[in-house]
Amino acid sequence: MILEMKNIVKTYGKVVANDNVSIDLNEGEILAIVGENGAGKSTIMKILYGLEKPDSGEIFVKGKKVSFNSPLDAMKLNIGMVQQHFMLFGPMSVTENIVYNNEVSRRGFFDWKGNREKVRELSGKYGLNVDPDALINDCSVGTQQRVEILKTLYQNADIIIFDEPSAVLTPGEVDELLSTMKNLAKAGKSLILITHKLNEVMEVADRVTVMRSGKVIGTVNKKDTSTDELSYMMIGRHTSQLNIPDMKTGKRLLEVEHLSMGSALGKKVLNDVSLHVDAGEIVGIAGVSGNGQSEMIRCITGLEKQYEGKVLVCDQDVSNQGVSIIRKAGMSHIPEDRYLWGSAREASLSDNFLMGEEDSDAFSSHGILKQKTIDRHADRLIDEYAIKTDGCRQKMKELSGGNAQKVITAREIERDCPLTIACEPTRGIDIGAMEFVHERLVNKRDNGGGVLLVSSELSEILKLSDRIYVMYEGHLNYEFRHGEVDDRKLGRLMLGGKADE
Amino acid sequence: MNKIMNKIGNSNILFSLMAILAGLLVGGVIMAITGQNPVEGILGLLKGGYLTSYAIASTLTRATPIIFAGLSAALAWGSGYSSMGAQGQMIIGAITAAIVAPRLGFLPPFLAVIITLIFSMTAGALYSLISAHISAKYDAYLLIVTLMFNYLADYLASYLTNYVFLDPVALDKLAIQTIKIEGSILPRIFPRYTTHYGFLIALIAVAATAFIINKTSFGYKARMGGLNAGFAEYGGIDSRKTMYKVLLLSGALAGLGGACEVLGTKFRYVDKMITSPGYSWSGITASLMSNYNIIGVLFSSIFLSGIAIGGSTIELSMNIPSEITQIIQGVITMLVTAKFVIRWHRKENGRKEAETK
Amino acid sequence: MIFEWSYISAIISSTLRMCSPILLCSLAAAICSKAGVFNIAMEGCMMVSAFFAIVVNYYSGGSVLLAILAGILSSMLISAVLAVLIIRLKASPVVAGMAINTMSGGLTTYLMYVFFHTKGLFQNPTLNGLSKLTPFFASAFPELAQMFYGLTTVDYLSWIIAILVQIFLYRTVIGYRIRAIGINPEAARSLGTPVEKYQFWTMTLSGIFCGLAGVLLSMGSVTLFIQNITSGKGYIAMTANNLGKSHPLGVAVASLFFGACQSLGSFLQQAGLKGQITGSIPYAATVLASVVSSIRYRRQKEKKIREAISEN
Repeated sequence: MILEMKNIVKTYGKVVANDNVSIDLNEGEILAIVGENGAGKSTIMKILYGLEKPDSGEIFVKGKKVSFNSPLDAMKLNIGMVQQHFMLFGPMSVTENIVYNNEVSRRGFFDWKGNREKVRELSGKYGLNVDPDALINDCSVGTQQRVEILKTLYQNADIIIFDEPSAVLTPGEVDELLSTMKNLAKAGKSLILITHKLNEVMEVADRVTVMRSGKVIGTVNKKDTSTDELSYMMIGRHTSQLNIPDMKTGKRLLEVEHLSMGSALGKKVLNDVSLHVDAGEIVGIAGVSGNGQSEMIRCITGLEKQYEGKVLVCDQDVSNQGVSIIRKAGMSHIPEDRYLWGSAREASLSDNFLMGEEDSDAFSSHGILKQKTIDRHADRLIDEYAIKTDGCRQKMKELSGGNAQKVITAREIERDCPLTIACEPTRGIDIGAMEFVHERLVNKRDNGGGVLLVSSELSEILKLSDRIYVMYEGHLNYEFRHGEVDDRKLGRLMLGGKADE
Repeated sequence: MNKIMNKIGNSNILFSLMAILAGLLVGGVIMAITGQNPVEGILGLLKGGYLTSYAIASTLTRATPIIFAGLSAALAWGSGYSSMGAQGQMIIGAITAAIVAPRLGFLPPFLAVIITLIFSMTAGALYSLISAHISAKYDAYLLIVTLMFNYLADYLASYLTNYVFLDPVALDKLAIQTIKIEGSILPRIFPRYTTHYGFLIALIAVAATAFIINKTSFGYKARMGGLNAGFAEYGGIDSRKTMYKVLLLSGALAGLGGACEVLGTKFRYVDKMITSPGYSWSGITASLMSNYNIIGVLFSSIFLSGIAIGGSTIELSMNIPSEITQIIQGVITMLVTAKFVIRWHRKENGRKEAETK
Repeated sequence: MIFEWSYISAIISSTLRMCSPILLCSLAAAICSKAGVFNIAMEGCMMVSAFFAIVVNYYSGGSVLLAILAGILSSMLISAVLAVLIIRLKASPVVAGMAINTMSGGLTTYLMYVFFHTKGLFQNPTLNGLSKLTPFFASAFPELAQMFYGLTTVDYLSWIIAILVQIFLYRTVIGYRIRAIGINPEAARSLGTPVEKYQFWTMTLSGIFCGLAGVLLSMGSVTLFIQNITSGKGYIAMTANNLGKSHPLGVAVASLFFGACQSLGSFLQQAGLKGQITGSIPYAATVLASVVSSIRYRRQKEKKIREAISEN
């Protein structure tokens, strides 16, 4: 056994990210760690790579008890990591990226020939094809990832962690990656693969550890398991408790036609997305995050204007239009990141509640703010959503994360407009408040509004949605009505499985 | 008790006071190194700036242009635009006043002054708009563009003074200045003291700017853009439009400051009258000291003006060069921007403590 | 008369003279920005160096070497202070840099009064300037040598430094690490580089260049110290660094351009144009150059995006 992590506990404030997690890795094997977002897999890997310190628990590498203070310590113990977000120097060559901090030099000068030779040698040894002189920025994402792998090998890593390695790759590149991983294992390296794509797991892994809500649910041999069993272990059983009566849908509130968008890296992030939301329905987007949901929402809400396709809000064509026009057309938006987009931490709650409405007649006249009305409005929302605060003059940054989320959710749900785009509206808030937010969303629908709900909580989607789209790799693959689909099937589809498996 | 201490600890006032103390300390050390008595020097500085009625009057007079520059900076920087252009805009406002005012002699003085001020405001605003436009349209650093425009304004005013509007009968032939304005000036508030009605205009400008920033929807947009540009964008605020408006207003305030300096103290444009005293930089320091709080700008400006006046006093009485105050001001500026981190460190420590408990 | 060789060579030599301080400062800005630090305090470093060079020159009885050393050391000290503020204390580079710049004006004037009991200008016959180098080919090709008339050792040194910086950044291991830090500090940190340490030393050592530039100002064509001797050259160097995309050779070309603008200004003034107009030429040119380069940059970017779309 080359690596053993025993009873690792890690908490962030009140959130338990890792609850007594134990993981072991044999020499020359590929261990997959699977789980939904927030299951605790990245935390355990951060601990293993020295990026985080565990509250308690022990780590043994090659039988010796160790502790890490930084990635450097991990590197010294021959642990390497291929991060999801590449850590590369874009304008530099492949060689320069691989040999960094361990260069071959002659009297202080960078020895191009020697370094290039070393890279050639290494890439030949493991069959990882790269052009040592190519610039990283000119390389495909697949090549960039190979450079990351070569970097870990250059530092003599015996244990290599792959963090969601296929998330950024095209299908062809994924196949190549998987065969690379098998080769590495054959060459005696021990690999940990963190992923939520079960078909990849079934292809390369020797053993699979499943995590859910910070705990290890179980470790199974690949031979003895199936995609179905794994996805069930990952997602668990979610029942739709809140049985919502069917509603007659009314006029079309949102129509998205053939939305496509490319990323800077030359990959299609959105691929011909079409969907619609009618008055009187909640439409859920199920999908593992990172499959294009954020980009789709950015296009619909006007934060992104470089896309192809059409967006109509309340019959008004708002394609490639700015935020204020789209908002005026009748949309509110709970953004997925509460601090990056959703609020100003240094501003008061009143100011945060006002955003988007500062020019409306309700809150200003002739350009002068009606501060009393604004404060009253803020107080009402604070009261209704039970936001814990000293009052509407308190600064946003003094609120806890859950309360901050409530401020944003309250602002957008209570806005007087037919359509609400809700991204992760209950992220980090307590159960009671969550129920309340759900009620308000349903209430909005019952009053003839429409909601487009994006959530990484499958239970939330299943519970609230009248219709569900499944999003996978930038495309909406399936559409179901409420009750037509169960959590097992949905979970499988979200992970790239087929409907009739 | 702890809570109160926390409140004070988190407030800007304490940090600004600490920065001021450190600035005075460094000033004292430099005096000591260069063979002066630091205690007497610093005390003299404070006495000369604040402790006599004459000192207070001079301080308020000098504070007037600094307040305008400070408002201009607080508006721009607080909205997220690091414009250094107040100096150029003040110069443009000043030269405009020096050109316009003498030609309005036929009007009642009150009316002439009002019209002059409007001209200067407009000139300052337009001048600011040019650099804003270049920066927005061509993605050029606003910082560099405004700095260059400061030099250009200085040369332009100098050219106009030298070759177009030079006072032909200037008593002192070495002085490069325009003709003296008669009548349409900002008179002194009390005949014995130099403080003129420009100071009252500055107070009105403080109130007006505070109102615009805190009570109008435009001010709201500007503030939110400064606090979190992503939030403003998400909420549908047009950042380009806000930028133009903010810089227009900030240019108008600076232009007004230049005009008050001409109409209230010099009664003409004298070459380098805005550049040499460093009004603009003092204004930026004042806005940083108050963390862009408009009312805070008023007090920081008066403080900075006071040490400058104190500096001139000790230069005369103790032969300590008045530039010591520029050094003190520089130390204060550096420390108030470093403060954010100190505060952040403490918060981090606090959080860790809370976690271990 | 405009086309006379003596006239042309005079313009060239003055361009070279005007260029060197800007070149040195923009090289300082360039290595800092390569390391990922925004340095705008060249103006202040230059001024302090120019002043202390004159002070030591005076008190050492005219030792040029000691004067240069004093200039460099004082400039490095200021850079180190700024580096601590920006890198350790995370102060805003714009504000801290501007504070250094304005403070240097106050500090030099204050000390000028303390040392020399004057505030505007200090000049003394005991002061020695930098030695002027006559090109070795002067006797063989006197016409050619005219182009290098009046250039001091440090003027020549500035070009050697430009080449050395180029070699340092693109050929040595340390230079390569510095560039990597500027490109992606997180990646560099993840591979175990003490990023802050590298940045601190880069910034401190960039003070050497500003120091030499300051020495050139106070001991180059003339030997004296005058209030505000730098007159915005540090800011122009900042633009030169932008235009040259922080690449030593690009920066050198941009500096030559600004040197030519200044020399053009002084020649036009001799030709009778008003000083205020000729004086403003470098500043107007700075704005114009940033506009032109931004238009070009944007066109390139648009082209890239168009290509990417058509490829898809």
